[in-house]
Amino acid sequence: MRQILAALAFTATLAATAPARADYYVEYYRDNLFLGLAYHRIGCLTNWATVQSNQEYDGFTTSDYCFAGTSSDSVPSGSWFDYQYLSSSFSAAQSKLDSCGAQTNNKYGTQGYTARSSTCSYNIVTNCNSDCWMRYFSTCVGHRVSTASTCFGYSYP
Amino acid sequence: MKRPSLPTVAACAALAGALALWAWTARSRAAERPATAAAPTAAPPLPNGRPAAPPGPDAPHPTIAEPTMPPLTPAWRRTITAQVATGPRPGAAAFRAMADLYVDHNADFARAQAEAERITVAEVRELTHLGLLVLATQRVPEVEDVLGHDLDDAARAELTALMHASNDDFKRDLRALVAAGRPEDERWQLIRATEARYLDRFAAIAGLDPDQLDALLGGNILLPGAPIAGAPTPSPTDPVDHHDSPAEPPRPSRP
Repeated sequence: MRQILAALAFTATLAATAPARADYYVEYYRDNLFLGLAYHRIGCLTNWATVQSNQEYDGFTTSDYCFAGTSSDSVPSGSWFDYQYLSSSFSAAQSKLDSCGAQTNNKYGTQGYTARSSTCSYNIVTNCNSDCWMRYFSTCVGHRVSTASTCFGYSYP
Repeated sequence: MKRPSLPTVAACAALAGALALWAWTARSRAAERPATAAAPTAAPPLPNGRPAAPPGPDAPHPTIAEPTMPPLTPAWRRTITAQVATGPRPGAAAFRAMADLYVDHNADFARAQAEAERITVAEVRELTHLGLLVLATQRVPEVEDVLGHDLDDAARAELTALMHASNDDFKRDLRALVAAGRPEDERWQLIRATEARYLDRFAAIAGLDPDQLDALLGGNILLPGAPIAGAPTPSPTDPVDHHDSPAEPPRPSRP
């Protein structure tokens, strides 16, 4: 019996000392409007296997795309197009995205991820649309994703 | 030789299992996270470009290209303005010219999208116009400028819902036609019916007449007096980068 207990204790020690793998990412998706080349872009916090939070990082819409626990190789109505490694710490990863989300919302007058800006008039070529929001947000996170809008008037920060 | 007792066998089995588990997880971790000393290697990509395995912090980032809107140069705007000036709907015509320019500038993406959905490039062109048109009509502040009064909250919510419902219904129906092997002309009927239905509902919700819709489409983007007419000419080396541009463009005004 002592030998069994010793083996179990050794197993528990191994399990405790072997670090669990945990890497977190922001993964970017695009919702294709009417199957053409017009998109809305979204970022979700993932661990590459599943979405980790219900918070979608996007601007100028209140639609829901990120659902915690769902597969991260796509999101509802969206197709994957880019990513950025964040951290091996969930809280650090989430904090980074929330901070950049808040900065971007402040820049575009979409505090609280609102569908409508309080400071600029939505326009698909000037610096007031969801592409420009995503350009600013992804730059803040550390890897600027490619977007369609020319975003005339864009500046960072 | 003394035969081992049953508890000893069980203990050895547990120990061997634990060691095997530890070795396996350690090897998996090493395989998934590139060593800092070794040259990082990217996992083979899936068809959409997403690496199959989680890329570690040092993994090289794949080059990902996305469609881009070409600069609407003053010369291009002058040409288009002259072309559409005498037509019945200059705003809509100018808007379509912009959508066509966008598709032409991203021809490879248009072909890839057509292949992926098993439709024609001409359909992708039309659907891109429809997507941009819907986005343009969702610019509530500009709709209100054209109307001369604010929309109430119910109307704004209805406009948003209209966009999502139209988009979702259309995707489902077009893909069903493709899956059923229906001919291209049936797909075009669906495309045109969807656009007509969207614009009818949009006009009913927002209260815009056809002239006002035309002003909304053309006036804010393309025609003389549009806000970007005064925007700086992009640098040829970086046509989409404007980090040094100081501020928001002026609020759009009616032509």
